[in-house]
Amino acid sequence: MKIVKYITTRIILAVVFLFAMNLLYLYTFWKEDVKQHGDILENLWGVDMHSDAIYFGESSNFHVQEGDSIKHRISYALDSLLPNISIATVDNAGLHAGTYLSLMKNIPKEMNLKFVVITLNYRSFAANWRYAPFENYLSKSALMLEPSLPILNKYMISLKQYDYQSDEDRNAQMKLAWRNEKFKIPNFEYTNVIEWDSAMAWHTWLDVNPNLTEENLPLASHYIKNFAFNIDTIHNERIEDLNAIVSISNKRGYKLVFNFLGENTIEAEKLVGKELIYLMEKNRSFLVNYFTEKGVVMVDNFYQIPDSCFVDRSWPTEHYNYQGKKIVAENIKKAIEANELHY
Amino acid sequence: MIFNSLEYILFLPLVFVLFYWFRHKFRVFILLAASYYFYISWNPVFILLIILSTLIDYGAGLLLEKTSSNSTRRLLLGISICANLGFLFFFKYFNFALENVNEVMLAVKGSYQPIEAWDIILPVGISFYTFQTMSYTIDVYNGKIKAEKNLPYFALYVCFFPQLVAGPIERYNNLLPQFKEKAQLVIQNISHGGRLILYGLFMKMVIADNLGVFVDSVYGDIAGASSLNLLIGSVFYSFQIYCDFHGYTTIAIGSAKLFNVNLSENFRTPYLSNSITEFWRNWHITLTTWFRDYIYYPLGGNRGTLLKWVLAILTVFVVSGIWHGAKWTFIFWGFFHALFVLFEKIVRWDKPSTNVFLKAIKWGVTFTLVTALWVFFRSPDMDTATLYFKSIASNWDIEGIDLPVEPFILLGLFVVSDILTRKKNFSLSLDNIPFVGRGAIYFVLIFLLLSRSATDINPFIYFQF
Repeated sequence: MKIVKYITTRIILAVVFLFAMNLLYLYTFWKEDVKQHGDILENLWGVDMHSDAIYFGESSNFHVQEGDSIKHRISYALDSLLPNISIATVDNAGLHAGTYLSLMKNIPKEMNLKFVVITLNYRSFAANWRYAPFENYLSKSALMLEPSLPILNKYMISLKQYDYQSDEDRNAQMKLAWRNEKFKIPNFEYTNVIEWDSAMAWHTWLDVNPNLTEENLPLASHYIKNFAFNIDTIHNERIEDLNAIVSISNKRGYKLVFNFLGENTIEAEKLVGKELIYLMEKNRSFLVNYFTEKGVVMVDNFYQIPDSCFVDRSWPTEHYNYQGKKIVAENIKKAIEANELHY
Repeated sequence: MIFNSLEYILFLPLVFVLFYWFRHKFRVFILLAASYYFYISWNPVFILLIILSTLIDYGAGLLLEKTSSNSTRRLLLGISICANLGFLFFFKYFNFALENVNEVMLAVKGSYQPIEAWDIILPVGISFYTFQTMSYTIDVYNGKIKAEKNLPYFALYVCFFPQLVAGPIERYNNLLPQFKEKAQLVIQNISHGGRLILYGLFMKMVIADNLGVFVDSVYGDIAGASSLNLLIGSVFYSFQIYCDFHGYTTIAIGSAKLFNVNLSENFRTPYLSNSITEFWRNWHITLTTWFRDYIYYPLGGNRGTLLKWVLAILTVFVVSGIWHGAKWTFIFWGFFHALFVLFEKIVRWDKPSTNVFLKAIKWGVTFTLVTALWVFFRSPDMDTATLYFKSIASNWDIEGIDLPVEPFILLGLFVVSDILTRKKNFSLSLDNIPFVGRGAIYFVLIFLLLSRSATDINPFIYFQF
């Protein structure tokens, strides 16, 4: 009995201590720690509480082409296209559905949002983004943003209670996914990324495809690694995170807009072939239908961006010049107006 | 499963509840199962090695006691020692030996085709439990202890989870009788155990790991670091390794205390030592006494000729260096310590002094030497260690001194607490402080632990040995 009393009083004291420590932490080290481990939250803190909408984006939002006279973000362009509503921006490089979900959980409940725009990047469903080394940082950030006591979040980071994996492990998982995640393309012999990419790497296609040269072969390989996959609705964590985003939005009463970014399908077809476009189209139509059915406003920019608007020419990205960014902003504006989200 | 993990935070209370839930006769099985599980969580395959080592020494002990023939007894001891050292050699030193054979052969025969290194994973804690079991067999052979007849108790002696992977290296006489005593659930054990675990976690996660961030950055770019940063880096490493290992040991002692088991102290403020000899009396005490009892004394200790004594000292320290790892840096580290110990004995530097000024000088020299020798210990190879010393001497012109303020403050806090707990350990020192004062200390420690623990991935340094 004495022991039970001893342990019970210590547990009660520990709980009181914990709340006091949390308070002290919030006034001392928390902001500095957020800067170090979850700097994206700082962006959210900077948002005007009277904003009507938030645009969540990654590098596609702020990347600028050298020589662009207008260097505005997609979200700023959208804000100016919709003068009656104010749109706040929260963005950072490499973000994806998992990070957006953590951020969504941290939107202040007092904010009266008409809608939320989430950037949907096709590549973020691919194995080499899902298993990128950067995931350690994002996963750590997500833990830092968890709606628990901040001091506990910090300690959980020290205890490595996030998805920490060495670069070698992530690389191995990526390669495993490239081998195991199969796809089926009619009249096409390759069924996974490894087979397809190996064929490309061993130059067997140089004679078949006149557009391929020794110089652009690496880019063709990147296209395969980034775009050739079949979205697995059960195991692909992006789907799970996006579903959770939909569910939070429904709960909080936000209208949800998915800004599905455009890809350079022209270059992809030129370098790799129509088989890749077949897969991309299959995934595109799946995503559009899947989330439209869930009540999300899908802004489908997939084929809307001309080849000339893509900035990076040695790696497949969604970095557009201002003309491309403006196309995206206008498409979002049209969708918002068509669905009367701005009222 | 490491001590500073959520798994261990859940595992320990669970084992604690199960241990006291069952009657005494079943508790050995609870601790044995928990210990095997603890080890399996590192690498399931190597549990077979521990079981094999347990069976060999258990069998050797029983047979040694039954046999009166000296030659058979020597043979049994030989088998046990060869088996233990054989495991240790294969897993820890095989590739090192191979590498050196290759180098020698290449020097002798230019056309020699080097043998490729084997892909060998070092089983965690092998150096610790091997030494522990060897001490048992040697003590049975010498008639100092009776052989243990109860296999589960003996198996628990080999693999008791709090001290399995990095010590303290326990002797049979200290550890095993405690398992056999019926443990009572007493508040004092819970409170002392809990305090030690808290202090150990503070040392590891707040002090050692934060210092480690700076140390890693300095070692990551030795040539580009300023002399001052290199000097700070070497001092920080002295405390990093101390807090890392002392932290581990303190958590181990605290965890064992929960099961009414008192493990041996491993550290007694070693950095307050006034000589290298004194340093070794206070640093990794259970390993030092092991070497003293099983190598130094059998080699004659200080009772033989001067040459024999010098050889005994050199052997102990070089073996100590090799024990830490299969690298020349460790051998040099041990060798230099031996040289300093010999020098101290010859000039009687280690003779206690009452003069405060002289004591301060001795302390300064000792700390400087220990810190300088840690550079060998930390460096991956001799070239890095040499570069470190050269850069300290030559990089005074490099600007951009990056004084790490927070680690300095935390280190200061630790040094004060280490000095204050010099005579009694942290837990016993708290006994004399009133409830409110204790509460304030807990508050500060827990607050620092939760909010200032380092976030980089840092395994315990001694796990690699």
